[in-house]
Amino acid sequence: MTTLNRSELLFVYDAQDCNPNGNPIGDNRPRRDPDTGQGIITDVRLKRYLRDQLQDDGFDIYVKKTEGRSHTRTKLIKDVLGGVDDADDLEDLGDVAEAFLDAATDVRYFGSTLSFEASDKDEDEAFRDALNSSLPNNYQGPVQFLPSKSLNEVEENEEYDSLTSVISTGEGNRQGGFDLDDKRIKYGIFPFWGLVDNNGAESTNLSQADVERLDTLCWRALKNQTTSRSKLGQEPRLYVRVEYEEGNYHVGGLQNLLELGDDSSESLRSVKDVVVDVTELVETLERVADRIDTLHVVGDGRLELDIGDETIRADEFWSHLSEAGHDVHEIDVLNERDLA
Amino acid sequence: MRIELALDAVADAAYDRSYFHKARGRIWRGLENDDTFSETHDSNHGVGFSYSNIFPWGQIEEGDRRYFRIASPRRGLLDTLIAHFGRERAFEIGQMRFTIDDITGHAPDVGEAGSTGVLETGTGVHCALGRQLAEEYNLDTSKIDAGESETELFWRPKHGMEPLQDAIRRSLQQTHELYGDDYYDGPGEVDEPLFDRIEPIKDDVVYPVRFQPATAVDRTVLLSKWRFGYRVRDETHRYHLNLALDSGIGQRREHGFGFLNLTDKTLPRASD
Amino acid sequence: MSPHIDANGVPIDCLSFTVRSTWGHFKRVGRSVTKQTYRIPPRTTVAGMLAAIVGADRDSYYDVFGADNSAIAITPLSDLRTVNIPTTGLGTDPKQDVTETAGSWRTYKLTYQNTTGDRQLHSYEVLADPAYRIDVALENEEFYDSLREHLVNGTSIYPPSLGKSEYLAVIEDVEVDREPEVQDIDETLDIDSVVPISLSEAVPQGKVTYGVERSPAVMVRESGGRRTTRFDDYVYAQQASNPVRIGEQTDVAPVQVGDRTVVFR
Repeated sequence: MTTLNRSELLFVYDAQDCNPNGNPIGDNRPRRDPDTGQGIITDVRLKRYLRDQLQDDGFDIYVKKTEGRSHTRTKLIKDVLGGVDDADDLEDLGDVAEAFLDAATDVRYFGSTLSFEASDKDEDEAFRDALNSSLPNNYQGPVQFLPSKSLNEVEENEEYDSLTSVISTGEGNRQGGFDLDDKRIKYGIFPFWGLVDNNGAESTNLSQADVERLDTLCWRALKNQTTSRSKLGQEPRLYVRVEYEEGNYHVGGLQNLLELGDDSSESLRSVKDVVVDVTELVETLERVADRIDTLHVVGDGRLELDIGDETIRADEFWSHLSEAGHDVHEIDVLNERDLA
Repeated sequence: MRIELALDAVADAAYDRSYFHKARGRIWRGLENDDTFSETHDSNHGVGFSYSNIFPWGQIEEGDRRYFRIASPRRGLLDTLIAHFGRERAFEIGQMRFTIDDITGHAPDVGEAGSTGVLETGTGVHCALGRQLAEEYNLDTSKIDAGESETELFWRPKHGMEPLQDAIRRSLQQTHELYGDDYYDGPGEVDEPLFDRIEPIKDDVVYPVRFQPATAVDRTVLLSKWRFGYRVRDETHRYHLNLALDSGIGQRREHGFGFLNLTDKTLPRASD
Repeated sequence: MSPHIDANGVPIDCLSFTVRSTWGHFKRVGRSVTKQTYRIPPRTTVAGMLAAIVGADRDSYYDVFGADNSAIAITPLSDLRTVNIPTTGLGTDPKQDVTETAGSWRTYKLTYQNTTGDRQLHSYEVLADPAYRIDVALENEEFYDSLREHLVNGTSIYPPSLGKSEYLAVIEDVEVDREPEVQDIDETLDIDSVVPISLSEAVPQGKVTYGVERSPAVMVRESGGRRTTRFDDYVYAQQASNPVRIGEQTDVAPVQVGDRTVVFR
């Protein structure tokens, strides 16, 4: 067993007048649950932000696009292993799996599939054989996020049909996909529930430093990686990492412990219209306090939280929890950030 | 295969709920001059067609557009009807009077293996069990004994799905033997079920309808309407489902019972 | 103590718990480009989830969930509805060719990709807000005791999920030492759990959709992996509030567990 403690993550971000996660099949419209009207953001989308932020921070990652395009797995692994070009180079590396996990920071978190494409060239085949014999087919990631559904029903931005038609008349834009980017929702607030599996961590060498890095990475990823035209308008609002004592315990389903507060507007347009009721979350944390080692918390002052009859700002949440008797680490996102 | 008649109402009329016999008579007028079909008019096994009601349902006003569908696994039968209806445009079912404005042909297909979809009965399914069958299923035959239900017992939900499914399978097997493609095994010759989802459309599952099987014979029959989900297993299963679309399901299909429509279909992969 | 399971597959006692998530996907083998899901977790998937909780390694636990020494009943607690979640995998291009086909059970729309391109795009048919009540009894004492301890303490060695590792699940409402009471079928009987019968044995009810599935039930370990030795056919009701009605001639052994009537298999 590892020395890591299990952690559970609750990461809330919102999306205003943008497309937080287009559906690649549905004409890139924002994803929605057709029955409940809730917006959907997949774990894949969130993990993409986190990977991109890791890369910007100087960490090597395996799953990436370079020069704006995607690549085969063989190209990716050559890139992440640095200077490895053929089977002989691989042999020189010694323990390929260790070297790979050491380099590929994203794989330590999220795992990856490692089946490499076949090739007609003998040399490439030899490289592929060498890779397959020294790496497993698949690393299961010890850090998982459940695809998120918004707390509110999202409304699609009315303009977007007309926007699309205007833009798509421009020559060549159909191919460029420019028009595809203008599908927006008015506002959605999305709680992600994540888990750091302490036992699964062993299989990808996920370290204590990796886990602690999440505390600044998530927040900064949403700040820094949402700058494209369709993504602009997303902000991190609340992050809580519940670090448990030993014993393989976790509460589960933290996203279900949040709901829209009574004071939220009927129709949401921005963070000013939202109050998130965290009463059940606070009560649950209190109930299991003796299983918790530390709460790692950061909140945004523009989001309001309801706790029972009290309304506080999300940036005061840490002190509220601290007063309730928890050991709280108030995350200083900028000063604690971990750059490679 | 099926044809759809587009009908223009020439007079106001109440919707006639016991149209079955008269509609059948109108279809037969189109077949009676062709020996291939007329010889078997009164035989037990029929010539192999099924038909819808006049839809949409409801009070008819002069000038209304309505539709009527006739399905058959026999291309020749439909060709004969197309020729007939092209000549004789009057389409009158008792007080419901129309002229045929257009005739279109359709060949709905449930899709290749892996496809999923839904078939829905456009008209109720007829399933009556004789004494022997009723006893085979261990059903209570006291009503037959007491003469209350003539010599047959209509299927009811408490009998479970098996008698109904068997009746559907038997009639489909019969159609297969008479008019089907003998390259395939018949529906009665495979173990796998036709459908993998069922939903009765009526609250009480069964409902009574007045039915005249012949002039001057009047009786009430108990029918059921269904939504059936399928997932096509293989080419044989696909053939069975398409055969059901062509011939209808259950008993007395040539009296307008058990007509099927394909209401939803999802192919396993996009066509190239 | 672990429970004895009788010849009808009915255990003396069992554990009960609810497992739920926002999403679930129980991969169904087929030709569809959109990866289809079973509506009910296969018995083998439930076994895998319980093995994760106690920390049993892959391929090590099949004997524990054999045909004669284990009993599992599965009761859907949520309507079995699905939505499609397309995802672009590694090396994807969002502008690749895709086509849409209207379809599926009445309301929902399914979408399929064109696979002729070399880009990868996966579409998953996923269950939305799935929740199941699981009743389980195992004769293997060590495994059963460990499972009970984990469930009662709210712990797990590997966190449970519903079919895919990112579909993290919550376990709740754990009850132990449940004693199933055998039920007689008086003409008909309404069963809350899925019922291992064919559709022909079910008694239809108005506006109630029955579905049937055949999914892997029992596995054995073999050189290089595992092999399914038993598949189960079962009938389920699409809407959680509706039971499956069976007739008195149906050859199953229904039992009462708390206020639910279930059939173990």
